Amino acid sequence: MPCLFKYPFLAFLGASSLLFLASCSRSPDGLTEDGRTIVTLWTSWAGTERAGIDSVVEDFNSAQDKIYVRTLNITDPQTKIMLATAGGNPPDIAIMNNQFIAPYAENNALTPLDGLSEAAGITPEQFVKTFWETATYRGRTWAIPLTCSVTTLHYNKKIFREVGYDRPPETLEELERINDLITQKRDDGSIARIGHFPLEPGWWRPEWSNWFGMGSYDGEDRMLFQDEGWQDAAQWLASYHQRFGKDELIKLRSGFGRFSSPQNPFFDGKVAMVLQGIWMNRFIETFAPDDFEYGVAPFPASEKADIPYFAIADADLAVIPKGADHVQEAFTFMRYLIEDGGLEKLALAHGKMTSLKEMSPDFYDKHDHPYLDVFLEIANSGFAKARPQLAQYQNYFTDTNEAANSLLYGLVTPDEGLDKIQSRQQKALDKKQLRWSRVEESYQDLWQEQIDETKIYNLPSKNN
Amino acid sequence: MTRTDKLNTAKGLLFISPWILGFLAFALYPLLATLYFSFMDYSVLAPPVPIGAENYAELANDTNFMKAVFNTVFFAAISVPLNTALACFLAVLLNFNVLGKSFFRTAFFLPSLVPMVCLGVIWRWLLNGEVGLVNQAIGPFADFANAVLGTTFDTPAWLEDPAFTKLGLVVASVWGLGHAMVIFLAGLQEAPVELYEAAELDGAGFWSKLRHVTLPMVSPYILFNMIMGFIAAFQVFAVPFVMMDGVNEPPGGPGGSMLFAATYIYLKAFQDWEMGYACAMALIFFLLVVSLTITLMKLSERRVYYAGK
Repeated sequence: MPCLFKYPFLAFLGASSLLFLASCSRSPDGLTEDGRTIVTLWTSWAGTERAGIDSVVEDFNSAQDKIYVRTLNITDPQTKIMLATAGGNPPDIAIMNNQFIAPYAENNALTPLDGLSEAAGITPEQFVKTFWETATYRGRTWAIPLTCSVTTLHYNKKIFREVGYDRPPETLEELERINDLITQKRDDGSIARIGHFPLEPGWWRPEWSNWFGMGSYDGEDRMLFQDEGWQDAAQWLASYHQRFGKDELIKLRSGFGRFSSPQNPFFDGKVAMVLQGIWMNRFIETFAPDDFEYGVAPFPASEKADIPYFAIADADLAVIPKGADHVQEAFTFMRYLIEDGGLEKLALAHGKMTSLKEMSPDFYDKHDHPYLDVFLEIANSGFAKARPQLAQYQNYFTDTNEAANSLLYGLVTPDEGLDKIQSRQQKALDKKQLRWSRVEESYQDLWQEQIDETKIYNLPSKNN
Repeated sequence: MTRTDKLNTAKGLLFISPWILGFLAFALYPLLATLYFSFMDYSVLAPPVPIGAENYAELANDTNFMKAVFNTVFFAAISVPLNTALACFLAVLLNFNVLGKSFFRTAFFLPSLVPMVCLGVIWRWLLNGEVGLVNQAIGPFADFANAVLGTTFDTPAWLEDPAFTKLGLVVASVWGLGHAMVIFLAGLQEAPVELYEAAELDGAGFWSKLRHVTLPMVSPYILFNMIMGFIAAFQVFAVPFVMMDGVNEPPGGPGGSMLFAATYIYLKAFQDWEMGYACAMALIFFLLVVSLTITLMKLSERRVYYAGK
């Protein structure tokens, strides 16, 4: 010690290093003062959605005395969960969107839930097929789907009446005819109002080919950007700059207000038809004018497709990242959500649907969405599909978004645009497939081991 | 080396040890790790798999990478000379002894203190095609030109039209010239008064003095600001990323026109989880910046005047 007193600087350096190292480590026990296991839950839900999960967590925490769930809000969950998992300090439960299941699973960053589901007696039959499928990948179950939605056509009834329509379109071609009727240009050629604009809100741009009967990925080893579905979709997107003018469309879009504001172009009548999900009702209630009248219907497919309509199924899922400290306790909470009414309460708070096939009569009575039945029917119709499960999903999403924009504005010809995106995305897929072939065997063995281990877990029974 | 020398060296090393530790941990190690991972297929979540030079081979055929290089060089080539010239010009103006000199100096420096993200958000609004202040300001000029010349100029959709996005960013980058301006001011105040007096005796006017006295005297500052400007321009990320975020566009902007080197590296590393590929790209850009800096130093050797030499 005298040596340290002699060199206070060394002592300072040592102490700060220790402090730094200590701050990097995790808390030792993960227990509350009264000895309950703390389960951490990360979600990006905010506002009323956060209040919804808080209330369910509170119910769970007071219904038993062994587990205490602690919720933490994060932004950009995909990146944060990835970094926390890579750093070996992930949450016990994370809520993520369905499109990220494949990238996480393929990188061995999630705990397979097949064993735990078996131990808890949870079966796929309890869930709506479309939503359950979002939780599986490479033959394993990775998540429990929670609140869900399917996309539908939201249309402005007042504007429809103005042009002599009292019902939604039945084909995409009819939708475009209505689009032409509704669209109004000013004297200087600029667009004052448009019937439909595929980039508003543009959240599902990579999936437009589905309305022409084909997705972007065959589910195995081929991207389908040069197949019929995308060929037709590209022509359809290009028809926008041909009909309305590139500069006029760019100008129109630059004047659109933020989504969650009264200046949302759907609310202020700049766009009369949008592809939207079940949550839209909440935003309409909050931001649209009092006399706003809207209808909801299936978004019709093209006459060329052999389906009447198409919908994208989206789900928020609960996963247990790899390396989570309290797997058993985390799954106990997840089971509570699906078996003890927690999920229904959550869905009511979020104004969404649940992933479950059967809900209590109370759920339908209490749900405030005027078109809930339309969403339920579409979800169960077989025409609703989730986005493709791709290990390179984010790359696919960014790249296809840009390609769709370029096609719509006529920055590239349909052939040229599709050639480029096909070549880039096929390359990206091949790369991931090659990588998977290198690790498949070891990962599958590892997952099987984890499943066998967790199968025999004794999950605390209800309210215990 | 005597005992005292050794002791002094040890003390010296001890005093700079925090810097050495910081350099090893936060500069040298990441640099070496970048080199190592650039030869790996590394998703961060799973252990790296060695793949030789595959990442580099792929880079050579990556059209997005080429686009990112072009966009970055384009932006740097316009914004750096423009900002350096403007900063120098402003510094010359603010070097005059006029009433409220301190106020003007502060006023021109202030915008460079605005955090990057705020800058992005502010410019997203300023450059909005329909309600933005920039278009409202230039709109009357366009109308006037159209009325007089019979042309059909229209105010641009800065953030949505691929032809204008980078120019919009150049306009936004002007806000950051405060630092360069302060450095020029310091340089100007170092210029010996006697040189100006001598020039005046020889009958030099304002422009003549600027050309033959001021510019040579601040030439080391021009070089410094150019180098710092290029390094900053090659790293441009936050402002375009935030600007694009609000217009519901992919992070690369319309037609990929706002895909910069740093944006593409970020997307590859943190969205596509291709850390190995991102590392290869980062190394290429690192080499690009180093060679550009060396070239600038070499080219300017004969044109920069150092008073001490």
